[in-house]
Amino acid sequence: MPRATSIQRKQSGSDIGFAILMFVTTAFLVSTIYVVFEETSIEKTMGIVQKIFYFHVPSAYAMYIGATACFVGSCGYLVKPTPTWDAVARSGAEIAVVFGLIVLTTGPLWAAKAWGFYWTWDPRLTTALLQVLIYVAYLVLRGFAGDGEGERKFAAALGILGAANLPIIHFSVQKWSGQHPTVITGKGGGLAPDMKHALLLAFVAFTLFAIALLWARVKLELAKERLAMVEEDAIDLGLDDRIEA
Amino acid sequence: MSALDLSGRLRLARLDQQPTTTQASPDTRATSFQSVEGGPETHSGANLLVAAYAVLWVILMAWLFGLWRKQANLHAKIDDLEKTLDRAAAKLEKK
Repeated sequence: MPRATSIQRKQSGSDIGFAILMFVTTAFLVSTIYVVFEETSIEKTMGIVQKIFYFHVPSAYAMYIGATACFVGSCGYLVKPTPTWDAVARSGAEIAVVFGLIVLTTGPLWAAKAWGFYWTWDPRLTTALLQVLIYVAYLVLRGFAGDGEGERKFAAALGILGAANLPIIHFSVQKWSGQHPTVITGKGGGLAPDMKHALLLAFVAFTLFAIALLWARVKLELAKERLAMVEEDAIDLGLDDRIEA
Repeated sequence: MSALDLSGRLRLARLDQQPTTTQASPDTRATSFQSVEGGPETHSGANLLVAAYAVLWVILMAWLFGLWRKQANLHAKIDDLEKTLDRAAAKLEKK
């Protein structure tokens, strides 16, 4: 069973690395929660609701990581159609949707206090919503359109097209007028030193978290792929009455 | 000024200092409730913060639950495959 064995070889030896990553990620997430709530000052105008910022912005960054993984996996799959590239693309899309949903719900909760309303069709909000919808479309395609070579290639094209929106989201606040704050990239006063420290910590924690989730999801996808291959091999050998059913 | 006039004026002055309780007339009572528009305190910041954190963890837990279900499904398929292999091995032994 050569195909399944090749995937197995790639998976072996990664468990220790994954355990270390999970340990470090947990330590950073706990530290971030402590620093955000215990050591970071409360914002003068908005009050305590501003603390949403320390999880909203890193979640957006984690969404970019997922989208980038989907883009890289999709490009890789179109160049060399292997189960690993496909698993990376599919897992990246899921990570992008998960963190994108966090961004799209925590943002409006902050806006309710800061702006007085939950949603407005601001360029950044609109492009972020579009980004999440693209990856939802990707996952719906993968979930309901079968798992053949053609479907995978079509999904890979969608994964590449989806990434085209990433720079638009990033530069939308600079190119078009809107209400979304620009405290990190803008020309204003920026962040107080303690707030900057908390945000940097949150960025590290969410980057590690996104990588850990991506890793876990890729491992699961590869295991599923491997099992499907073993089942096919078993059918080819005439082992099974029940698998075919 | 006589002593009588002076005591009368002092009594009137004390009456002026006492708080007056005015009865609201039916015309001045509120007849409708209007929502605040553009006010800064339309939502509690603490409640919104708790809601944001709850949403964050609920989304992550829901996704992890989905992963757990996929893994459970995978284990079930592996179990089926093992049973199939055992049956095949038993058939070979009989032969």
